[in-house]
Amino acid sequence: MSEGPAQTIVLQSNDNVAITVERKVAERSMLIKNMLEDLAGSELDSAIPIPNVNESVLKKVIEWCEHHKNDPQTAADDDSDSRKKTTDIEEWDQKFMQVDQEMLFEIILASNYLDIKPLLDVGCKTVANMIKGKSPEEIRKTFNITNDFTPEEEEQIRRENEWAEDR
Amino acid sequence: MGSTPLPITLDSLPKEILIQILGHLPAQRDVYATCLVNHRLNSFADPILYKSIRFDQPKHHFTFSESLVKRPRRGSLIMDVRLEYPSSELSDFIFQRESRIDGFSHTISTMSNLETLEISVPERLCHGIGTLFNGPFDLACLRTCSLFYQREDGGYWDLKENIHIFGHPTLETLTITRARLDQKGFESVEQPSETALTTLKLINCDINDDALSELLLFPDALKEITITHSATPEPPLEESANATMSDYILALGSANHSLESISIDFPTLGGTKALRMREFEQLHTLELRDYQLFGQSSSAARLHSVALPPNLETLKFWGPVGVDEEVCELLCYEIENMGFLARKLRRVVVEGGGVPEVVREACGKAEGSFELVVR
Repeated sequence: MSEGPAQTIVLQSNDNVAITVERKVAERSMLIKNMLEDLAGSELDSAIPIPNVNESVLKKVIEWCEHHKNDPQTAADDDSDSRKKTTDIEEWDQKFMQVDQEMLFEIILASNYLDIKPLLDVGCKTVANMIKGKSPEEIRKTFNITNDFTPEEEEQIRRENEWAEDR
Repeated sequence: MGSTPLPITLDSLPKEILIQILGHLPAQRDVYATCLVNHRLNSFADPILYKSIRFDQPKHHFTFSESLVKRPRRGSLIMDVRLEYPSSELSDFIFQRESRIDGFSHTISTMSNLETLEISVPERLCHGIGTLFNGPFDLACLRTCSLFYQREDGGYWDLKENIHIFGHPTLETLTITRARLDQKGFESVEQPSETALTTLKLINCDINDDALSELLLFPDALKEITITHSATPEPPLEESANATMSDYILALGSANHSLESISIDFPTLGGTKALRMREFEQLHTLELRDYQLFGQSSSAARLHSVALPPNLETLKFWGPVGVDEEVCELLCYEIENMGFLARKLRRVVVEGGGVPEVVREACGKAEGSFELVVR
């Protein structure tokens, strides 16, 4: 490598595609960042396998990391309620998340595996927005979920939780 | 490893991720809807829904009480609870189901991790609650509590049955609405070890000042106290009918080592004595009426002048000020000499009602650097 030590690294998806990425971009993933730190000093001459993520999803995740490579790192475990309870998503991320459901869930799973908290957060908020304001039946339809309650069970849950119905 | 055989769906996501998604839902009705989707989503949404509950109809509370038979652990999920329903809604209901009334305090006792308890319900439901505040294993995490037991005749409810709330070790903020406490209110209580109470609000209460003084010995470091009542208390006061402002300030003396803020909006508290508050060394905010600070005019000679807390920063008068001529004169004198009477004073606030010209003039002549704010 002519550009000095590890300015770029190579990631390998589970369908065996090698993708070259700027190191800074890949380090949005805490999993990769920690791995590179553990390997510090030793030669990194082979691709890093990402066994749980396929090429199209990995490329999509890298696209997000590329856009957000200069974001300040969020403070470790910033789980304050004010951040948690909102479903606000910045515009670029909203556009980025306009994908089919399959891809959306894949991105969520990949960001969880790769430990990219802000991306996981955006993914979860996107799903929450899809649930928001819908009736149980509409949620089932949206996500293709089968109702496995008996009518009696459903009625009982409805009655017990009635206090929350209009809040 | 390898490729995923089945398409991923919402309910096939791992538990932690589903919980994170549901945690983003902004309204309880969204969590409610998710509970009804299928068994798996229900198992994650139900604990989120029951973290913070608010029942504004008695039937909801009774339904909850019944559900505890099948799901005894549900109570321990709850961190905040707000029970708020007026007598009128209860009357028909209660007679049909007399036998279940004891369930009221029982349901609260199952909420072992409760941090916030707000009760605003008819008094006759509340008889069992008082003992919960005395049990070492009941409500052990409680931090915020608000009690308003509504009497049918509109009267003040007797705080005695619930007096142990003042001995609760972890409680930090307590609001009591429309209660009364007589002088003997305390004889039944053992002196607890010091409590964590920092903020106390007594809204439209009728509390004997000696009893208040004893109550305030319990907190290790009470910082804030608010006492309010209307200009014409209804029904008329009994326990505190003859109390003066000076009696109340004497009662607050139990906490004079830690009190930082005293706010008393209680127009009928009178008296002719000027307040002596040198001992309140931590106090930075004092809110009251001008005639309560200086003492009302009377034929008797004034024995001593007012003594402000040494570190006072904000002095607020509920308006109007200077209506009593003698008080007005004292006020002007005090303001002109404020510089050395209260060295740290930054602001004198008058809330509601006008300020006589002489008082403004006095402010102009005043030594020291404080501003007059009229709202």
